Amino acid sequence: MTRVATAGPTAERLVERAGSVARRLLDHPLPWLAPTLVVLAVFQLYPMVEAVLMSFTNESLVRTESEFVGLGQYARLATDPQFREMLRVTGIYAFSSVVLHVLLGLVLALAIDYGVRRGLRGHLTTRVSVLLAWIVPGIIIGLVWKVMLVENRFGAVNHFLGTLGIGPVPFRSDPTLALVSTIVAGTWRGTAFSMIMFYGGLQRIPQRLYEAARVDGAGRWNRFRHVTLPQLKPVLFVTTVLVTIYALNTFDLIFALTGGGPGRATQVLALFMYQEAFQDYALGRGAAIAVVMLVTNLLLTGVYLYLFDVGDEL
Amino acid sequence: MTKGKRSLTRRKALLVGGATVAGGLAGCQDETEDGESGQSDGSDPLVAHERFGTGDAELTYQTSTFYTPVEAESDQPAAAPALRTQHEAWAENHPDYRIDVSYPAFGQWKDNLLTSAAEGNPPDGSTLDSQWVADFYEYLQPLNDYVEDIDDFFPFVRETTMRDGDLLAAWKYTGCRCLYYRQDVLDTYNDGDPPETWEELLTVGQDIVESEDMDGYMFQSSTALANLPYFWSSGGELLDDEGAPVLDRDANRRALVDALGFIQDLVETGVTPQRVASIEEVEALPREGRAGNLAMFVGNNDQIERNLKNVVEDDDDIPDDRWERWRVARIPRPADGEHTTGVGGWTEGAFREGDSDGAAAMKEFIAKFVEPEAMGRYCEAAALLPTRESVFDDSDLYDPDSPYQDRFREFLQDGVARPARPIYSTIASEYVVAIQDVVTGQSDPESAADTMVANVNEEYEAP
Repeated sequence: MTRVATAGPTAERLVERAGSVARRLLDHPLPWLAPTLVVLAVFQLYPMVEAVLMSFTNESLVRTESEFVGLGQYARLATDPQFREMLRVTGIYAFSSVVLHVLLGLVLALAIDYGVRRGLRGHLTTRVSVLLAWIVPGIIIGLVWKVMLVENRFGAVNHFLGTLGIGPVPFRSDPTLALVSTIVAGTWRGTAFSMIMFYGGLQRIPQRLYEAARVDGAGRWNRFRHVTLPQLKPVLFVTTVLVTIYALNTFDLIFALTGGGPGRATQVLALFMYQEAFQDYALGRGAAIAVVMLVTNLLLTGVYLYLFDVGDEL
Repeated sequence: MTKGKRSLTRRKALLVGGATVAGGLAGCQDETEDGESGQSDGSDPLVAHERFGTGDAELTYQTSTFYTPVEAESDQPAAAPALRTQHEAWAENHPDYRIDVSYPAFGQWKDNLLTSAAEGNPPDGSTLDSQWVADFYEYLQPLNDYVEDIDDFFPFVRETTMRDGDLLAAWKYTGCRCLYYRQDVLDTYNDGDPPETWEELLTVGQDIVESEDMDGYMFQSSTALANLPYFWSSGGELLDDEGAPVLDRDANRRALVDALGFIQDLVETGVTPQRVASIEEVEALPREGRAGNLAMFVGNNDQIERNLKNVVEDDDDIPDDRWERWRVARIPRPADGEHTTGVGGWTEGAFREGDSDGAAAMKEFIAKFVEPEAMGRYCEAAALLPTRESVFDDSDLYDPDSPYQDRFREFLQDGVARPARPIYSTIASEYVVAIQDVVTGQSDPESAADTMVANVNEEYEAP
C-alpha cells in the first residue's frame, strides 16, 4: 500500500515532466522547422556543398580519377577572355530581362487592376492569356520561337514581314538580333510572373490611402509615385530578386532557341556551365561556373536589399 | 441507418477500386502475353520490342527505337525484319539468356550511359554513336575473340574502334557526306558538271545566285563533320599519333585558315546566305532544295532516300519524280587538295567485364551486328553503307535499290572518321563556333583560327 502510494506521485511527476518537456519542445520553433530544414539540407545544401567541393577538383566523367586543383578552375575562368565575353552577354541579357519583366509586368498589372476596379470586361481573359506563356516550359517556348523565327518563308514572322515587303530578317543568324530575340522570347514568357506578383501587391494597397491622396489634391502620377510605388516596394524587391535569379540562370529557352550561337553571341553562363559539364564532361569546371553564378546571385540580392531598403518590411 | 449507408458506399467504392486494379493488372497481363514486356513463358515470341530471347538469365542492353526488331515500334520499319532475323538467330543459340532492352531518350542517352559506366553500373551492352566510342574506351570490353576478319573493315573503322590491338566496338554501318546538286540547274550554268574545286563552286554559285531566285550553296554550320572535309582537303590534321592536338603547326593552321577563308568567300560572294549560321537540322537543307530555294548543299548519303525520294513530310504540291533532279558528287576541294568526306555511323559495344558465360553471350550478341550477312541484310534494308569492304563486293549480301550507292562507295574511299579521342568534342565545338563567327562577320578567318587553336590547346593542357 505504501509502495503504491509512493509510486503514484512519482509516476505523476514523470508524466508531468514529460508533458512539460513536450510543451517546451512544441513551443520551440525547431520541431516545426525540422522537416523543412532536413529537406533543405538534403536537396539544397548538400548538393551545393558538393558543387563547391567539386569546383576545387578536375573531376571529369571521362576520367576515372580526379585531383585537387585548388583555385585552378577559378583562375582559369578569370583569365579566359571568352568567359569575360560570356559575362558581358549574360549581363546584357539579365539586365534587359529584369528591366523589361518589371516594367511590362507593372504596366500589365496596373492595367488589369484598373480594369477590375472599373468593372471592365476581359481582365480575366487577359490574366489567363498572359499566364499561359508562363506555364509552358522554357524549352517549349524556345522551340516555338525558333520555328517562328526561321529565316525564310517557312518562318511565321518572316513570312508575315515578307507580305509587308520586309526581310527576311536574320533573327537567329545575326549576333545582335539573336541576342535581342532571346531577350524578347524570355520577356514574353516571364512577364506573366512579375505581372501576377505586382497585381497581388496592388490588391493589398488600402483604398483609403488613394482617397486621402485625392483629398490632398494628388493627381494620377502623384498617386502612383507617392502611394502605389512605396506600397509596392516590398513586392518590387522580391520580384526583382526573383526575376534576376531567373534571368541569370536562364538555360532552357536559350538552349532551344539559339544554342548559344551564332558563334558564342548568345552564350550565357548557365549554358556555358551545361556545355562544360555535360558536353565536355568537365564536372570540376562546370561546378566552378555554378559557384560563380551562385555568388553573383547572392551579391546582387545583397545589392537589391541595400538599394530597396526593405530590411524591416520583409 | 446513416452508418449503414456509409458502410455500403465504402464497400461499393472498394469493390469498384478492386475491379479497376484487377482490370489494370489484367491489361498488364495481356501485354506480357503479347511478349512486349516482363518475364516470359514458353508461348512468347523469341524476340519482342523489349526482350530478345526467352531464357532466365538476364542481360541488359540499351539501344534506339531505330534499331528495334519490331516493325510497329520502329523508327526505321523497313530494317526491322533484318534485325529480327539476326536477334532470333542469337536467341536460338542462347536459350538460357534473355536480353532486357531499354530505349533511352536520345537527348540524355550518352550522358546517362557515361555516368552509369563511371559508377561501375553500365548495361551489359549498348548501341553507341561512332563519335561516342572514344569517351567509352575505358569501359568497353574487347570483342576480338568474337568478331571475325577485323582487317575487312574500312581503315577508318579500325582507327576509331581499336586500341592497343583490342576491338572495342562493332561499327555496324556508316554514312558519308557528299555534295547534292540540282542537275537541271548545273546543266544551265556548268555544262551539267558538278563543281570539283572551291573556285568552280564560287564561280558557278555566283552565276546561279545572279540569275535564279535561289541560293547557290548551303551547309549545316552547326555540325563539324559536315565541314571538316574543307580542312582535311586542305591537308590539315587535327591530332598526332599520340592524340595530341596539332592545329598550331603551320601546315594545319594554314589549312584551318584556308577552310574558314573559303567559307567567308562563300558568304561574301552571296553564294551562301548568312542565315546558314542558323541551320541546325540536317533535314533543313533538302527541305529548301525541295522547295526550289537551293541549288547545291552538303548532306548525308541517306538523305537522297529519306529526305528527297521518300519524303515523310507533306509536300503534296511537289511531284514525286522531282527527286531525280538531285545528283550526288564529291565535296569540292581546294585546287591543290584532295577530295575527302566525313564518315559517321553507329556501333555496338559490350560493357560486361570478365569471361563469364553472360559476358560471352553479350559479346556474341554484339558481334552478330558486324557479321557480313547480318550487316549486308540490315544495310540493304535501311539504305545504309556497310563498314566491311567484302559486303560491298558481294551482291548476294548487299544489293540495295537505293540510288547512288555505287557513288557513295567511291566516296567512302576518301572517308575520314572523327578522331577517336575525347579532345575531339572540344575541337568540334570550337570549329563550329569558328565557322559561325566567320559566317556572321564576328571574326575573320585568321582570328577565328587562332582563337580555336588556343582554346583547343588550353582544353587539352588543362589539369
